[in-house]
Amino acid sequence: MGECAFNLSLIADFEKSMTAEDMADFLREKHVTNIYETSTDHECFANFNAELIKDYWACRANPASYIRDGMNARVLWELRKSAILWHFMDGEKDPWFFEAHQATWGVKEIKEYRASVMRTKFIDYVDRDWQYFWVVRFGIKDWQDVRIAAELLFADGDTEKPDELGDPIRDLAWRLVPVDSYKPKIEV
Amino acid sequence: MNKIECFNAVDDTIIEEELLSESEKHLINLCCKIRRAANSNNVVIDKTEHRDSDNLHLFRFIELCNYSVDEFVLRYLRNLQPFSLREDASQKYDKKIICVISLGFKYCLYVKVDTTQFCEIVVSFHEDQFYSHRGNEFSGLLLGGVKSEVGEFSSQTIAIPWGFKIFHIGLFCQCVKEGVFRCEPKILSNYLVNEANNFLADCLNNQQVFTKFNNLKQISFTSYGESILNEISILIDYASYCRNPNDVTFATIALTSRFEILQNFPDYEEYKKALLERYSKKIPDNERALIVLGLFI
Repeated sequence: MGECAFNLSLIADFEKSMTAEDMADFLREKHVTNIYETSTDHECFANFNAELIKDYWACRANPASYIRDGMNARVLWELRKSAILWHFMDGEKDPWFFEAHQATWGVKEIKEYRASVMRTKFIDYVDRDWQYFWVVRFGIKDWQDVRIAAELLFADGDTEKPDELGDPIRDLAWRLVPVDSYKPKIEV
Repeated sequence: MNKIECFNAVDDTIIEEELLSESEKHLINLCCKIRRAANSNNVVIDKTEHRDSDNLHLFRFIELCNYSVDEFVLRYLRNLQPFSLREDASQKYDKKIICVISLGFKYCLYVKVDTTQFCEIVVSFHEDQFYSHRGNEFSGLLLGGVKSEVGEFSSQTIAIPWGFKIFHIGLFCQCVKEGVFRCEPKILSNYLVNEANNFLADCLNNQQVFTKFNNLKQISFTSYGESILNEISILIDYASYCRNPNDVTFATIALTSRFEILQNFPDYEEYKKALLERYSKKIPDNERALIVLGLFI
């Protein structure tokens, strides 16, 4: 096994008091790339940063456990999506799920690995945003605060691609009982 | 400072600390900073479209109600009250940013003041549908009134900007700091719900028996006002919230007459566009509103 993508001693360490400003300084110090930001437009950076600090405040996961120098925001985001499953995957007791994440992995590998684990419970899981939503919905406290889709925050993001999940609860109902009067807003 | 003055000073500090928690002092401080920023000469209202939310629909609404966006926003912020505010500290990525959410609406009001952009103060002001699920716990803290001793109870008339209106409410409240009063939060929310119900009764052509709003979270920012768009907004809120078929019928009849008027406006297309944008966000709460709107547009 190579180097783990997570610093497991930090992932549930929330001792230090942190502000959004501290988190922003940390992100900048680490030179995280691919977050859309210009000298006058800080909206994406502010939203990206807000998600990470909210994870910290809600004791979901400490971003310091997975942010590395010069990393791409897309990789960061996928690691974050795994990291916030710390309690759901019982990381405190046995962090096998987290240990398996390799530091060399890109977005594809992280998603594939997460899907392979989730598939043992949800047979058609392929880590689409709406599927991950359900993991978050049942596995994470204060799930309403967790933003999952982030396409618009990335500098190389596709602005045409919707940055939302549609209505996963209604979509699930439709999957169970399809009716002509409703069509899921996102890819099934 | 003689012994008695010194004693009084210490006493006042004790009273003030007892009457206000640290977080309340912080919130008052933020509210005062926003008020000060709105009073400065170099304020720019951010009218660029945000990537992740439709933040401009409120401005279109304001313009169609015959207000200048800049004047409307600045007037609102100059009178901003802390009682309904909660800081969104997660957006404060720089010390020069102040971000608060006003919780007492169906869709929270988001206010961000950014003083980092060269020498301008940039103000964002829009409805925040993402955070609409958050609570509506009020602190009851108000700025203004006439001079009163700290700790003293008195009747005060306080200006409260709410939606498209500024209410001047007479309240019995306690002075908790110079220029800061606290009243029972429930009195404030009841007052505002009552105002909305009065406006709704007018819009329903003084219908005598109808289900009333009972919570501020049922009523949008755009539903407090006097223009036809405000009337349509409150009727759509009402039709979306009501489950009783009679109430929905009352609202639909009232909306029919409003849309008949609207269709005769030369800039009807603008109104139509503004309404469609207003209710276009794909959030569950909007679905009923969109169905109602679909009957007329």
